[in-house]
This record gives sequence, structure tokens and C-alpha cells, in this order.
Amino acid sequence: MTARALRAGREARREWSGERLGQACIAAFLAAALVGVFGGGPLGSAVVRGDGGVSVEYERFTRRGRPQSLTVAVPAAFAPGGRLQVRISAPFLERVERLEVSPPPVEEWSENGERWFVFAASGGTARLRFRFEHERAGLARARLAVAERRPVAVSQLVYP
Amino acid sequence: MEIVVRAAVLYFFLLLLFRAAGKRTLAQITVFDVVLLFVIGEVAGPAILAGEASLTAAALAVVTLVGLDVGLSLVKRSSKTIDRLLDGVPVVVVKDGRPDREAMHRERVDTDDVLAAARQSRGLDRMEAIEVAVLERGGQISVIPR
Repeated sequence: MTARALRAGREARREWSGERLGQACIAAFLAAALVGVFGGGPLGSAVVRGDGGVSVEYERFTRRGRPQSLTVAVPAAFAPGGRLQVRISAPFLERVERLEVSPPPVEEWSENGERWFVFAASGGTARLRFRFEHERAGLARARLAVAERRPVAVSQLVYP
Repeated sequence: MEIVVRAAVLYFFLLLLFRAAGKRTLAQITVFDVVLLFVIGEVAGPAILAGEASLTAAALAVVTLVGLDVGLSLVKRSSKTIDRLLDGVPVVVVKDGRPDREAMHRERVDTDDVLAAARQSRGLDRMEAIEVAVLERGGQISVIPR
């Protein structure tokens, strides 16, 4: 066998190894997608719990421009006088668009780098839903609190 | 600027993906490969041009389609039955210069198609000059002269 043929054989074997590695990467990418590493799926959503039974459900992995929601469940004890106050860090809200809040807040204002939302509480656990789309990719961090309570931290990885 | 970046990202992503998938992936061997190529183009195109479309979503869709194609090729390699089921079998339409009328009728091939393939590939202009003509799985007609 000539030196050229031997070299061609070696190069082919190297290429096959590269292809096998690449195909393993394709399989890993698809498996990651199925479990929700790119949004949706079992790993895609997360729940964080704060003081007194407050919980925040959100998408851990998401994509730019994808409609999604962040749901805050607040026990009735947090609504003295029928008014429930929730504050979210303003930098987080600045990077989202098409924000819709349901139920609609009765009052809303910005203060000290936070956006305050006031809701009319109707008894029982209130479920507040913030629908939005991320405007840009990257790591989006939010701090979310009910009234003056300690905030819970939420972070989302936003793919381009 | 953003379009240039998105197009470049997608270019290198697709280049790597198809290098990893191997030479035979979507090599336009069957009609389905051609269809799949069109679908991939439709999925990838908006990710370059439309500002709202997600690059990640396009990449996911393309990897899924190519991954399925690679996966099925591995399955077909290990099972002839599945291979035949998915890609069909070659069909002899002319043998010893005589057309197999039933095979040609069922495959919707006529003598003009066979003669055109014979002229283009072998420079033959008569049916009698053909030893065997085979309708391949990809729809092409292979001609072996006498």
C-alpha cells in the first residue's frame, strides 16, 4: 500500500471519528431539548417559594420573543384591607415587552428601581399572572416581593 | 448588522451540523430527502431575516429533522425490512431489451422515460441495446447496456 493510500485511510478514520462525535452531540442536543433545556419540558419551568406560602412559577429556560407567563400565588393573609401589593425589580421589566398583567392592577407605580402593582384581593389565594416576551437574549434576573416582605429571586436564561 | 450576524451563525451551525450528519445525509437520494431539504430551508430562512423569529427555535427544528434522518439511516442500516419499507426497492423495468409492461405501468414509467435515460447516460437510442434498466429508489433510471 502506498504512503498516499495510508494517509487517505487515516484521514477517513479521523473524519469518521469526528462524525461519530458530531452525531453524539446531535443526540445530546435533542435529549436536552426534550427535557426542556431550550424551553418547555420538565426542566423548563421552575417554582420558587418565599415567606408565608408565596410562590412564583416561571420558565427557567426560554427564548427571545416567546410568549410566556410568570405566575405569583399569594395567600389571602398578604392582602390586608383587600389590597395586595407586589413589587418586581424594574431592570427585569425593562427587558420584556408586551407585558400583560392579569387580573389588571388597580394601581401601579415605580419607586427605587422597582415596579409596584396593587391588586384588589377577593379572598383565598390570589393568582397573579404576568405575561410577557423577552426582548433580548441573556440571563434575566428578577426580584419579586409581596409588599415589604423579603423578595424571591427569579432567573431566566433567554436564548436568542 | 443583526442580519449579518444571524446569517453567519446559522451558516456555521448548518455547516457543522451537516458535516456531523455525514456525507449521505440528505444527499438527494430519495424524493423525501429533497422534500426534507425544502422544509429545512423554510425553517431556517425566517430565522435569518425576521427579527422576531428565534434562532434557537430554528436550530432546534433543523437539528430535530437532521437528527431523525441520521437516526433512521442507522435503523435502516440494521434492518433491511425497515430500509425497504421507508425507501422502497429498485424495480427492473427493462430486461434483455424487453420492457416489463406491468412494472412500468405500476411505476408510471413509459418507454420514452427509459430511452431518455439510456440516451443521456449511455448514448443508447434503442430498447434492444439495453441489457437492464432499473428504476432506482430515488426515481432515477439506471441503464446497463448489452
